[in-house]
Amino acid sequence: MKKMFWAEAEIRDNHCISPDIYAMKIIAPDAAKNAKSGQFIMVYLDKGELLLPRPISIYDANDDEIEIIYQVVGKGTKALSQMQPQQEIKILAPLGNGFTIAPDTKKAALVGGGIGTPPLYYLAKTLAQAKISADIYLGFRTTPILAEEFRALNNGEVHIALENGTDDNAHKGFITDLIASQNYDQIFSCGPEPMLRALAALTARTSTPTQVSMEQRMACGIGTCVGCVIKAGAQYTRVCCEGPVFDAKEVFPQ
Amino acid sequence: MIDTTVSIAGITLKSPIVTASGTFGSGQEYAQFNDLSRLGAITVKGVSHEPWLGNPPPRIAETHGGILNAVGLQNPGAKAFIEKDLPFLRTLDTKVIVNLCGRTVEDYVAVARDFEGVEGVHFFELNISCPNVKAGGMAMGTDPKMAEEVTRAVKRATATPLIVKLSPNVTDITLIAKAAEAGGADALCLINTLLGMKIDIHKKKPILGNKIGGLSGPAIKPVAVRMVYQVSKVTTLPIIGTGGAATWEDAIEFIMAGATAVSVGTANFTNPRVVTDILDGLVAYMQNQKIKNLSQIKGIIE
Repeated sequence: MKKMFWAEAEIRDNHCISPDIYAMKIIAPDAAKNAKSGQFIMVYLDKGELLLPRPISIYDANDDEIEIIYQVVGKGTKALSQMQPQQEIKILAPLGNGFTIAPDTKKAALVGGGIGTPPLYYLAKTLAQAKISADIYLGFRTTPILAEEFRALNNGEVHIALENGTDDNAHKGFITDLIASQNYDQIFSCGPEPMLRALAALTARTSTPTQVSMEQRMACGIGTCVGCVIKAGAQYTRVCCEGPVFDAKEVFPQ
Repeated sequence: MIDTTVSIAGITLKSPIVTASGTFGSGQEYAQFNDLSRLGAITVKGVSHEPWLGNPPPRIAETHGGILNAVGLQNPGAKAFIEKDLPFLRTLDTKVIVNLCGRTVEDYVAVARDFEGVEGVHFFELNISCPNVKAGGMAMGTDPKMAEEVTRAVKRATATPLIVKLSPNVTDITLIAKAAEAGGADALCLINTLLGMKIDIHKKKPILGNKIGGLSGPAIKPVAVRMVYQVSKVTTLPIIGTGGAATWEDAIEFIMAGATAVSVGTANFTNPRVVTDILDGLVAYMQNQKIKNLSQIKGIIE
């Protein structure tokens, strides 16, 4: 069984980085040391009528700290956004399988869409440290996030696409328009399902190995309730345990 | 000295705190946060004779003080359970309750027979109350005649003590309780989830892939306490009370209503250490109140 840590941890920082999007740093040394890119944490709200913990992907992990970036979409994430530094928060981490970098990968592409962008940052950092070059493709509706953070890694090109944006430096349309998948040994992605589906179709044509990080409504986060399944072939498979990262071929058969 | 043991069908449980089926896997995941040997028993996720695919996602929806689920008893079947999960459970110093599911009387008998000669199973829990299975499942648990028939058939097929888990989705739960007793049940567990639904008003469609599901969590606790109370008045069988128990106070409430043991389900999701917290609270309460044995407060509500 994989190692996971239940921690009553201290919040180091929690602030808004873009409309409705927040970054929270949590002091959790055991979880941070064992965290892998593409994994997630469960955040417990202690909020009476909201019973379920919220699964949130890991944006970054350092020696003693896990950082998450999340969007306020409902009452739970609203409550989370109002928490203050030095307050205690209960977390269970790290959870899920995470991204797997193939041993022979020399050039990778990372494809993020909207709030699916943050988990790719820790992967981008890991790739940079391993001296594997990685081009970054990020798509948003109107407002990019984290573009500067990815550029600062200086480990490949950073492309931005906006569906309804006005930025001259950004492609107007879908991010998948920009990707020449044959140029890459491996592609990693996280974002809305239509984007992942389009990417899977694209990379299947060039037989480029592609990993996608999936989402589902979740309860326990550790495999016991079998609530968070998605269809993979003829079976339903758990996002929290067998995922959240899947081979694109498995969840989007062509 | 306080004594937290309770007895069900002649088998002693170390404590009255039990985990509910479908919320605790087969225990292994929660062993990292809890000393499982303190539990009275672990009820494992529902097991069927053949593997079951389960319902289409989404299977989970959060509601005010509760959650709706429509998992549909996805499980790899009895053979896989016996090979993969039971060896770990055998290493624990606690009792194991295997939740049996089926669509027909023959299904239930078949899965009970799958465990013939298999060690490490102390009780069966007959799941005739799952609202997420179209045929069988809850249909059996809402008709007294069928409840009695399936109980009797499984009882004939096995010597393992049989707990029958009752559905709250009935007009009079005492009729089903009496039917299960007539069929030969050794104990009762109540309640399973209440049928519920949640609609996403922006997408104009139900959240659950199955449209409707079973409601659990603190939202249903008063219903569960009421039903345990009513059933305890019409049967001498031991009752495992369940439905929204999340604190030691809840556990005491179920016991006072007439339960011998209390099963904790949804609360495991809210706090993975909840069973330990409940046990600690229960022991402290017994010490403070100078209660030597839980029989002193069991069913004290007239």
